[in-house]
Amino acid sequence: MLISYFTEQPYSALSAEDAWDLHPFDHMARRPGDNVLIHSNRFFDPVAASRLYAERIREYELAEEVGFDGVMVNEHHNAPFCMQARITVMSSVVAARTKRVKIVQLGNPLPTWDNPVQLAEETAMIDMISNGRLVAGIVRAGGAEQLANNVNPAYNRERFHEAHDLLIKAWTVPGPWRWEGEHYHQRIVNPWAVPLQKPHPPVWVPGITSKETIEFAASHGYPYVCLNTSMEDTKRIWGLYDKIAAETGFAAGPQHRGYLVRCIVAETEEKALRNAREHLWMSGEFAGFGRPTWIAPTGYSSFEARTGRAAMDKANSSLEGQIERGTMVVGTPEQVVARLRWWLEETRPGLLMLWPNDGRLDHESSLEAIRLMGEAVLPSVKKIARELGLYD
Amino acid sequence: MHAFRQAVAGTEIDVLSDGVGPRLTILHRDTGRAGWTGLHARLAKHFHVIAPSLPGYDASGRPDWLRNVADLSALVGMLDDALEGEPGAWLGHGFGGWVAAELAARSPARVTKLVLHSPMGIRPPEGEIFDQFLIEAEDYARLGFSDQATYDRQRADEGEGRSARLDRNREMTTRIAWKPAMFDLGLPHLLRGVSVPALIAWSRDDAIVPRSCAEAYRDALGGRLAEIAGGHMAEYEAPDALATLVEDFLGC
Repeated sequence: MLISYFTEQPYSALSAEDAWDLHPFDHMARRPGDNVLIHSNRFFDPVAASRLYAERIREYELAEEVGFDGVMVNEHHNAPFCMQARITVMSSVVAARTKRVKIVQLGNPLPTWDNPVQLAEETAMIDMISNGRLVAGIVRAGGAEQLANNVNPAYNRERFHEAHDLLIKAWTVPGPWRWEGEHYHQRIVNPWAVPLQKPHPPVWVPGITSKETIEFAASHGYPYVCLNTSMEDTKRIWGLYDKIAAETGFAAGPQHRGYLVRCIVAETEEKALRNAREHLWMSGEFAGFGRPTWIAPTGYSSFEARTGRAAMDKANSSLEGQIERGTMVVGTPEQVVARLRWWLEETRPGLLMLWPNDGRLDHESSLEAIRLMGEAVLPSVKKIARELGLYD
Repeated sequence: MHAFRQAVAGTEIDVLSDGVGPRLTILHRDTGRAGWTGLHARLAKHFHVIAPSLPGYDASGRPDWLRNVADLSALVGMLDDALEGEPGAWLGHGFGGWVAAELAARSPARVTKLVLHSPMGIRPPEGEIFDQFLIEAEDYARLGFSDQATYDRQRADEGEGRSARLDRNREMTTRIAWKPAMFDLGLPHLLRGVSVPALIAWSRDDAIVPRSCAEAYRDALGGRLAEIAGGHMAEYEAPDALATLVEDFLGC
């Protein structure tokens, strides 16, 4: 089993008041609590952020020291819940500051790139600099990312598919050659950087429940990573993935199954619950995912899928409900291991991403949680994975 | 009133039509054409009114290849050909005004007179065209009205299926007018070469298209700018005032 450490890298220097007050400088469409996309960056303090970046990078180093196999990085824009504005930048930093861990990008937001050949170059550089440790995940990117990057959401899926094909070709087929597609047009493709890993770095595809994305991953043999989905949805996803894999001609196993879970561990249950509330404050109450038209703009997915998603988000918000459903795993190491065993037994992933630190959790508490994971969670989870035959 | 479908370049276009007299084609805004309205009925007393749902809007087919408003206007021109008859006048509301202006720039022979009501399509020299994509489709529709009661009535009249229709229409607008957001940088330059008589109407309480946009049209086309009461969707709020303005300009 390959276990990665993840944090959104929240901008944890915000005050609660910043979220709910309206100001004369606010965008006319903003309502109190709208903190993704148009929450003014006047509230972004680069001095505080410089400290936070340094702390996050130290946390990644510690994750490697205590035994994590990978560090998972991602990308969001205009959002206080994530300071990673460019996934390849943070991947480069991790490549330079670590020696052993996989750099798990989940993922590169393909449709937001107007020149995927440049992405092929950047990922190839990271793969070489890290001595072949790159996992180049790819995503459609959420709706708000389309707005923040001003990329037409109606062509999101088409651009995802075409950028993928172009990326793979740029990694694997010697140039120079020309690309004239529907959304991408490249006069001369001849990147002077190609990946160390052959034929190319592993590609993983994270997602929530989008049927088309699961089908895409399975039909290409790419591992699919369920992003903190419910047990019911996760099982449904694996059912569909396995079916498509069989139709494609391979038997899917744990090595194709990834799962990201918020896993908040502390010496005492009380402290773990307190830290878990920080998670929810940032991803729910504060940063929110409230506006359906930002999460899934018209054209990004079907009308039915979008209206269903809004109802789902509303139903899944309380801490108690999430702990009960297991979408938040919270407690002492023993409690957390028991709950993770349930996930492993029921859904059989070979790729596990643990997300312990978020919200306004301070650096010391974050380091403490990482140490505790290394001492008391990772060895037990690896042992369970071996017992269950969950190989990556 | 007659309802029919006309195929143009592989796309089925839904058309409503009524009245006798000089031809007047009315192009709806980006929220679509919610049936045969009071404004249509009144103008049909003096004109042969043709009110298509633009390709990709309402019940018309969606040409998946269509990426810009200029090509949309070419399809509308082909519809005009298919329906035969003499060149006529064109009235466009909001986004439909943009389509009509593109058509006039590219096929001036089809157009005898042009009425553009709070038209989008030109980058406003001052202010901004409101970014509908930041708010829900229904909230955008509401923003088009200065009078809440008229909005409530219009919404209630439409009944079931409205949300899905607004969504489908917004998707088509997304496909063809996402960037630049609701304008064409070349259009004002092309319009300087259009000699068709033009009337620009702007709604006094328009919260979506700023007055400067209407002024830019006036400056490019050399026509007259008239203000009317109501919000961006004044065809629902002040249909008689708008109809009178159109009738006076077109001469009847």
